[in-house]
Amino acid sequence: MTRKYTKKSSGSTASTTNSTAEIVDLTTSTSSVGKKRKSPDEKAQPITKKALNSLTPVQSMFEKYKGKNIIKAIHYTYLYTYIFNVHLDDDETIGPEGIARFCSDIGLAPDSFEILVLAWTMNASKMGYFSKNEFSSGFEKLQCSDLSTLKKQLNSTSQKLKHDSTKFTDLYKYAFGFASEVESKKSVDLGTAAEMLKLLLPEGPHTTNFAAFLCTQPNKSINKDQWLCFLEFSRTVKADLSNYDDSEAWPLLLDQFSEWVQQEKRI
Amino acid sequence: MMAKPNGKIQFKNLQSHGVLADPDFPKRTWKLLKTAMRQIHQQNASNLSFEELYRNGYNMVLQKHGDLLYNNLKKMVDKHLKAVAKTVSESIDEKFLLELNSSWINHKTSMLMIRDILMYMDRNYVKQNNLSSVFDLGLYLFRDNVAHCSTIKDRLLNTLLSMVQKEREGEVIDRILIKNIVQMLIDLGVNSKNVYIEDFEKPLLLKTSSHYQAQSQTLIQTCSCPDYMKKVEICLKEELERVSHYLDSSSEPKLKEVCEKQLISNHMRTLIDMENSGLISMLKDDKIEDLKRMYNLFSRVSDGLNLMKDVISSYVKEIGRGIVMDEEKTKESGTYFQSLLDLKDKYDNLLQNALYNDKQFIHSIQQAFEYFINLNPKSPEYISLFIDEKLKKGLKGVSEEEVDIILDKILMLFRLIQEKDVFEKYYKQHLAKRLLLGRSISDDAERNMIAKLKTECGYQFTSKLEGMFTDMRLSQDTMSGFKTYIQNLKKALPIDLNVHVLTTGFWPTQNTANCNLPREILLCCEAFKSYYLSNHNGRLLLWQTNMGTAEIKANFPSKSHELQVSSYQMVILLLFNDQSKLTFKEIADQTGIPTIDLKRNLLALTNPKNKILDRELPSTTSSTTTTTTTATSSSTSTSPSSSSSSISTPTPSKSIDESDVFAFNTKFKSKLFRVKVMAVVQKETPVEEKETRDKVDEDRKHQIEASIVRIMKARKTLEHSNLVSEVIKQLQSRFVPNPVIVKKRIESLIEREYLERSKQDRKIYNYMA
Repeated sequence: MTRKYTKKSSGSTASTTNSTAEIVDLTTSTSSVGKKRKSPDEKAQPITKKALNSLTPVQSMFEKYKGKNIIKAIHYTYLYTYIFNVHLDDDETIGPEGIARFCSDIGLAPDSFEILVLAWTMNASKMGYFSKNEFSSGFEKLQCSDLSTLKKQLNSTSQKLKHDSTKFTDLYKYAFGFASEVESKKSVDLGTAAEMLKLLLPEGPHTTNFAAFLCTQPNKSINKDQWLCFLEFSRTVKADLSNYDDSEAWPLLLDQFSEWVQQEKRI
Repeated sequence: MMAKPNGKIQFKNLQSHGVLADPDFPKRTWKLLKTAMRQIHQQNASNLSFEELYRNGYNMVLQKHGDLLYNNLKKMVDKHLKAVAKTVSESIDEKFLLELNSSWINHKTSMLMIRDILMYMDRNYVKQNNLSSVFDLGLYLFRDNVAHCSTIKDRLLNTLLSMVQKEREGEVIDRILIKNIVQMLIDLGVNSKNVYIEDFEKPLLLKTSSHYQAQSQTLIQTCSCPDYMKKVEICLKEELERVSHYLDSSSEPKLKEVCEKQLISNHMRTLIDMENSGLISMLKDDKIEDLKRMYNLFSRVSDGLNLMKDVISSYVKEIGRGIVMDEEKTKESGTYFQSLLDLKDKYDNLLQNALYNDKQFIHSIQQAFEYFINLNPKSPEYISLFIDEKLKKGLKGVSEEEVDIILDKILMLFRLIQEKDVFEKYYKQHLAKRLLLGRSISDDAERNMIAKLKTECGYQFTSKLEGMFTDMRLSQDTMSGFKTYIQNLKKALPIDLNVHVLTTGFWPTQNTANCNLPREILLCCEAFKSYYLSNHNGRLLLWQTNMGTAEIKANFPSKSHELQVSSYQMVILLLFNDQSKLTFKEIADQTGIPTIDLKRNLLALTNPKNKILDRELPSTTSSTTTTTTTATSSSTSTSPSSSSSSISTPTPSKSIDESDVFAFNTKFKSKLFRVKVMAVVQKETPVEEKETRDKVDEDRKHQIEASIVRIMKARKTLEHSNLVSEVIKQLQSRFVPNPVIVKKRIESLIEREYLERSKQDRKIYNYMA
């Protein structure tokens, strides 16, 4: 009952917002500037549909996924304090829940490659969180202001990345820091690394084996050098490891992986 | 005189003119020549007129009858030689070679004369028609009619071979006759040796080969290796003599090859493997002359020396491995290493006296030594212990030159040790002990040893060792100053104190082990500390009591003695001034000496040889008269120092137990006034051994990283395999780095951001400032 109501309401709101946004785009620039000036005065009040209409489309979208909590609070007054407090700290950030809804609205899984590309485009510093600045800059780079355009752009960019090794390398490097839970960003735990590799290199000749191998390791984490070297390993070493040479500059982890594969006869 | 020639010429002209008119001239002239030549063939030429005959030949050629003359000559000689062959064939065996040789000599003489007569033909007709000269023609005809006559050829060969065989069997033969026949065969080749080679040399080589094949087979089955080789030497010598006596010198290398193959090559393996007399037996029994003979013989054939070298190398490895892996030998480092030195001496002697210091053999034997000496991971320790023993006792009474020789020999084996850093660790420990306990027999010998190590491994390797010597020297100066200082105080210390001040880092590191020093000792220590720190600001002194020694005056009921003990033993004994009986725990609590050390020292004090303390079971009750002990001691104290490995001495059947009770032994007796209580020094315990090894591994990590950083700092950019090989090159004088370890250290440095991988090429490293 509650869900149905919420969903219906959400759909309605989205539709209204889109329509309003289009109208706003048609008005004169002077009028737009004038309306922006009014915004600060209304910040103290709960955000209303009217207020939403005065924001840029991206800002409006951000407020939607952040502000949804507030709207929700309004509808359930007896939970008002709890819900508000829970999300108070998220005033400048979209958290895991918001991102989940955001992804649902786009039609992409939160753990999809495309969302990783979005995070990379936004230069998000922490997995599961988009700050306001990151969110805005992402939309700017992708040159879109609505969800349907965003989705198309993400799909397009994702496809291009798979054929642009330079940019893909950049994404691959970014993914390490993005996935790291350590302050220094110097290591990623093995489980996370394995999942991230499956996302980044689903067709890689060694991805499946390496992910399995990582689960067998006594170490808890992988370092950045090992992570970066695996990309080149994936690109240059044959599936049967016939051209692997452990006297070369490969990290010991890959030497051990090579031995493990041959011992386990997984070739 | 002038008239005569003119006269002759005129005569000739008239005669020629006459000949032209005479159709029978060639026939008649040939008949004259033919008759003359028959006379020549019959060795009856003395009545012939050379001039007349020459003129006849001359005229025939001049009259264009050269071909008639040449062909008739050929037929005549041919016919004659057939008769000669018949005569030779019909001779009896004893006369055969003589007859043949005689025929040959006569033939040569005849052909020379005929050639002279027909000189004009040779120079004109023969030359113009590209025919064989008269003399050569004679050779060919003799070859074809006599030498290759079906009834002579094989008989000749068999006769010659048979005579050679007789000589081989010890008979005396007519060498000159054979030499003449051989020369004949050579001459019959006419500007080549075809006849000699085909008719004699090749069959001779085959015969020789089969002869020696059979003979060597017999010898190899009946002789020992050395005897066989002696006989082979004789055979080879005889064959060479045969060449010089009657064979052509060109046969020497061929004959040599055949003989060497049959006598040496074919039996090399058998000779080497012979039980009780082969190569290994000779090595065991130091048969220098026989080994030299083998070397000389084997060097004659290809792969001979290689085979010998490989067998010697394998044998040396086996012997060496036996020494190195011998459970009993490896318990006694002195025996162990002396065995290696003896083995080295033996093979150095062998190389010099039997193997001509052949570089291949030197290298091979050295590799064998390097192989087995590194099989035992304790080798670095044992070589250090061996040197320790030499520098404490072994070199006593030995002259300087001999000391130098001994140390050089030790160095030659040290050079083969791969883990020189392990050696350094142990050497420091042993050196520390020698210096601190005053056991070194000669400072010069010590410095000599260090100088040699420095030459071998470089300054860095020995700098700390030299630092240890510096500390000892400075400590002497410090003590002189301290004594003066005490005198000036005009307040004598209760105990005579002697201190060594040791620099941290030079001396082998060990956890500071302190015990509770008696008050009298502490007073002295504080006095020294005040003195020392007043002269050296900012320094920190830590007392290292486990390395000290003391002299104690002990009063026993029967007699007073002066005891020479360790500092720990002194601390223990002083407790018995106040109490006659103490439990292990009480001693431990009151002295603060670590358990392991406490047990060692109590074991020494209760040793039957010097039983200063009695060991009792807890339940035993005994009454002991209290005895006053006045302690006068000199104590050596040090800042961080230790020695944890040494030669073991026989351990008493019982060890100290923590439930033991100890009492002063009032019945102690000794013939000596001055009693030396030796500490029972135990071998390095497994834990200590592991600690030493762990320290080495830790040091190696740092060394490798330092090397990597040093290289990258200089190069800024370097490719992976080059970096690895440079690191190994830099460090291999101390130890051989494992490439995997090097790789690991590189990764660690990347993680710590000393290095980074090049953006362009992952295999290239950049140094990060």
